[in-house]
Amino acid sequence: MPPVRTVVIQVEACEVALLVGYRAGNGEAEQTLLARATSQPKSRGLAALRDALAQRALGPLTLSVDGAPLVPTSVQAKVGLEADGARAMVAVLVTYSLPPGSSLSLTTTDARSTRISWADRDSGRVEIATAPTQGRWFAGVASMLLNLRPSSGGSACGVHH
Amino acid sequence: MGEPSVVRVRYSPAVATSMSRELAVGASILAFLVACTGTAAPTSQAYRIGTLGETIGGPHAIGRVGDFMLENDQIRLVIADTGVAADPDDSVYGRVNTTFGGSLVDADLRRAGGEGARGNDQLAELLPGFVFTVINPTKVSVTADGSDGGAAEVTVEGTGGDLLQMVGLLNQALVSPANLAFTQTYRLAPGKKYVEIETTIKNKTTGAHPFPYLNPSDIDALLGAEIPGIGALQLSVPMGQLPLLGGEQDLFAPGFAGFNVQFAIEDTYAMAGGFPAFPGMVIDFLASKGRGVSYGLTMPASPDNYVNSYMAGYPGQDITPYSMLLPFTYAGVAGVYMAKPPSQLMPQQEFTFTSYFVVGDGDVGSVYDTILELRGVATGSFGGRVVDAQTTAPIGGANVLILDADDRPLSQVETDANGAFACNLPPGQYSYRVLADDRLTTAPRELTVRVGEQAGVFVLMEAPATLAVSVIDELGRHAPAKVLLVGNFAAADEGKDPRDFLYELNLGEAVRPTAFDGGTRFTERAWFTVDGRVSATVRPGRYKLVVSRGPEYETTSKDIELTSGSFVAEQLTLERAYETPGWIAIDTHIHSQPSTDSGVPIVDRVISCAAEGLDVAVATDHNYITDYAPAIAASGLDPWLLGISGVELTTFEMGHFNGFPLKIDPGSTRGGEFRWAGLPPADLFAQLRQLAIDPQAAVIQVNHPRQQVLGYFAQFFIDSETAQPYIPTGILGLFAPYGDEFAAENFSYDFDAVELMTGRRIEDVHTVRAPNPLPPGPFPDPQPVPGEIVLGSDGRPQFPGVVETWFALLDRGHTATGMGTSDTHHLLGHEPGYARTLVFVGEGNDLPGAVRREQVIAGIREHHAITTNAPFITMTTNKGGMIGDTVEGTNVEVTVRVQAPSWAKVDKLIIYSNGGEILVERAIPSDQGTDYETTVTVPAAGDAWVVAEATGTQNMYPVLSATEFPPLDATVIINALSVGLDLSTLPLASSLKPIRTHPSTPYAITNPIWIDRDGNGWTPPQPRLPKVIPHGGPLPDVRAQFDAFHEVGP
Repeated sequence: MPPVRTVVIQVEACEVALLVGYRAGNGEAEQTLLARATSQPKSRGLAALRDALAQRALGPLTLSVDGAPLVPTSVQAKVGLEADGARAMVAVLVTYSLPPGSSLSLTTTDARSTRISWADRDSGRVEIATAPTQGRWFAGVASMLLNLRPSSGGSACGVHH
Repeated sequence: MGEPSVVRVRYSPAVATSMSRELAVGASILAFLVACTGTAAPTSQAYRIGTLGETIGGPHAIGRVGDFMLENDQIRLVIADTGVAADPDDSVYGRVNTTFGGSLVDADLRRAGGEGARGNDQLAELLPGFVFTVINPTKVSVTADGSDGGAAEVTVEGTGGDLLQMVGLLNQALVSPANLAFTQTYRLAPGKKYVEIETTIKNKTTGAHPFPYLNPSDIDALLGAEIPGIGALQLSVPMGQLPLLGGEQDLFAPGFAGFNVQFAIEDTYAMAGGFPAFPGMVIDFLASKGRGVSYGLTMPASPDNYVNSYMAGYPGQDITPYSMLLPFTYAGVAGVYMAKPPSQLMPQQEFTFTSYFVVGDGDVGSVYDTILELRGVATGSFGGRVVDAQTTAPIGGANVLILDADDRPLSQVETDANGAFACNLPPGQYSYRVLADDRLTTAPRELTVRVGEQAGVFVLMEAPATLAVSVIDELGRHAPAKVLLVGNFAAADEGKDPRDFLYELNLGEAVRPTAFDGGTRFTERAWFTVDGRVSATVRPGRYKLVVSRGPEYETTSKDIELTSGSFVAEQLTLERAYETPGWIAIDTHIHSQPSTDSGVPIVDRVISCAAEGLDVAVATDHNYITDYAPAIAASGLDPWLLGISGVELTTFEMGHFNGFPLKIDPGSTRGGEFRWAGLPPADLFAQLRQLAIDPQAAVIQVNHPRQQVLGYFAQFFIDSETAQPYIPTGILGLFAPYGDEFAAENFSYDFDAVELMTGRRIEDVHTVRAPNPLPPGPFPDPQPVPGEIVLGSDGRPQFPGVVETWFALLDRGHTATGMGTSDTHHLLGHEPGYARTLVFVGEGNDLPGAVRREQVIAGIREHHAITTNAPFITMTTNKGGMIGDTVEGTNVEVTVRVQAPSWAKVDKLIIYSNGGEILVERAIPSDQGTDYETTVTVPAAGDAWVVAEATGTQNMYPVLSATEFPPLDATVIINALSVGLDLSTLPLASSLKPIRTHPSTPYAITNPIWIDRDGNGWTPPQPRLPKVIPHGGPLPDVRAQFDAFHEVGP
């Protein structure tokens, strides 16, 4: 059973929030990862599992503006179960400040396992007319590109939580 | 766990003498019987059954004249005839559980008493499976009658048929049965307690026949757009047997499963290695435990059987040369796959595999003894006696579990009336534990078995407590009532899965239902009593004693402490919660022993109905017309309960339909003759009416209409907006049944009633909406909108509700009466009467035991009915009339009153009208949750219908159990098959599904009051156009989604 990674890019006026969901597969690499995590002392087990899955979730992803990778301003992760309660998964919320630029892109080195979707929250930053359809999953793509409007952000942007 | 005294005895002279005496007595009896039959040596014979007296008999026996008997001095088996007659009208497809004849249908030990003795068949059916292809027999014959002193044989020959039409494509892709001839020979040797089954497939064409038949690229072309990645898979073609061992048999597989077969199989899905190995549990043999008879399945050792050929697909599971694959057990059907065909069969080439079906004495140990003999394993024996530690009285019916060196169940033996047990085991180190329902399980004790030696033990089990309870109702009567013992487990175990600490399913312990509310309550025992009296032995402990009698009564409780060896007596009084003058409570969907998937004796079933406050119980066993009257009379319930005979006409994939009241045909082994396979719905309904006592006054009821595979509306793709069938597209279309009987134009509305609530499945009542906020995905397209209906890729609701579909039927004038039923197959945890239907039969006619069948049927057909699991809703209008009546006028004032017991308070009332529009939605104040009344005005612009629905959020435990584990349904199997594929973007595997585990909460919905605005007769409202459900609303905020995601705790 292959791993599944879902990425939602939420573009806001001053920030980008990325919600990444990841469920490990049944392959040897994944099983080794999980075994290592769960072999930790019991008090650390869950945290180790969360960290290991979050690493796998985020590892192949890069968010860039005009080719320059963005640095996260916050990363939060939770480990839980899929909706049907059958398999463990991690949900990771990563936030970035959105600098001025002409294009925002998310690239992945693991296109096969990744689905990307995006949504605009009244950001005023994205050229909606040329953007891919919001709210739809794009599977098997190596990157998603959004054209940005000339920025009206800058000092008006505060920090979101 | 208790620490009883256990004395290990290596055959003291007293014990040895006792056991030897028993064996000697047994041998004498056998010799006597052999002498009486006049046969000098064991023999076998096979013949066509000529009289009913030659059949086996028993709770699940359906063998009849024209079928084939295969028997020897030890066991008797019946193989069904083809079912195909020269006159097609006389052909009986679907006489048994599956579509075709020619299967093994009855199996039992040979019983003393000759032809007149009643047998104890509990087998439902056994037939070969080639993936999901089965034999459609053209001929069943005796190929060796045993007269030569050798084995007797019955052989079934035929072509391939689909077990389920829905998987016809899969069968075609993997097996391509049209090119093959199928044969199954049952061979029974004298003196043996097993039948050898030889299964053969033959390529009857002039070309090679590969397995799988289609190349991956061909399968990709067939399905690829719908199942991405399937072309990259290597598939395999498992073959074996499909044993339906019957609802009275507890399945057992040695190893980590033990008796916990269902959940153990599901656990293996998570660790499956992927295709070509089909996912599932690897087992060394399959066995069962039952009352007086048990069964088993095994195969010869083979280094290249199916499991051994795909070993890499089963990491972490023990594999032996005898290993078989158990991929599912669903609705009483299990698949046991043993063989892998060659990569291709050349023209006229054959492939044969062998298996063995064993008949035992009622426990796993007797089956295992035969399997060890088959395998030629040298054994030692293990036996002993189990007694009460306080009185040394023998404990009969206790279960001795033998565990292997890894503490996993290997076998199980039941003690006889003298507390004695014995079995054979291979040499080695073991441990054993003894279980009894009313005592603490013994701690594991070690055991060494050596070849040719006897190991004996004398087990002392701690004494139980004795509890005597007497319940009287508000009139001082000893009325039927339910008595419950509710305990509390340790607070440290709160939130944990009860399977991990409260009971051991693998050892054969029963589920102890918990309150499923994060607390510590659980139900230790429940008794359904004829007269409110029970005297029973129970496990010592501190409990709350709770008595109930259905929703019309409050519960009464008392704290008690039961210690080992103590006697406690209590008397409690029931108080009425509300009165229902003129109304009776009926459950029109009940199973008991005659159903292949229920083991509840009929007497126990009728008592349970009365104890839950039902006034009328309709017997609806699967393809079996049952009469409750003798059991009601024998148990003295005539003053309390009326029984009505009926049937659940159970098709494989068109739906389930109840018909009642029906005639009983004493000459039929099923209470009546009927056919369910290959007929369109109109013919099924007509058949049920013909079986009715009065065809003009029968009720045809559609059961669980939206359940996948088993639901009539689901299988005909009934649109919930228009109540009309549509043609499914995409993957739904690929896996839809293909027979002519499933053509859309064959959908029939000629039914009188439809289940609105079945059992505790509240999640099926209304169309499923996405939660707000949404959990993280993935989700299939289109993206769900929080709070809105979850849509499928065709824009229709992905999980349409029964009630919404019923509203659409009402709009179009299809006025089927809405019903509530339990569909109960068991007792505790599957209580009868939840849900139930309250039916108005007229004031004064509702006295217990006095209501007449005609009054009940008339009340249902005239829609004077309420679906409920506790609340009682009445509706009246200022124009007169009640539920089910037609009133005339405009601006009709409708007064709704809701009553409920304090353990099932309601907190919301909704009133619906045409198109399912909500007229009124009211929050019910908490201080009125047991009695609330309101009046609304219905401003009908045209003719209308009005329905009231009351709901609550209170947990109804312990009267009604929660649903702690997801009910098995077809999606479990689909998920298992998808292990090698990523179906997460497809509707079938959507991340947004109905929540199937939950406490039971109050629910009730009435049938309509019909408003005839102009007084010229009620006409249905104009059918609604398919509603364009607005989509593309605001997308979810990922931050809120993240916050809402539930993180598991340590």
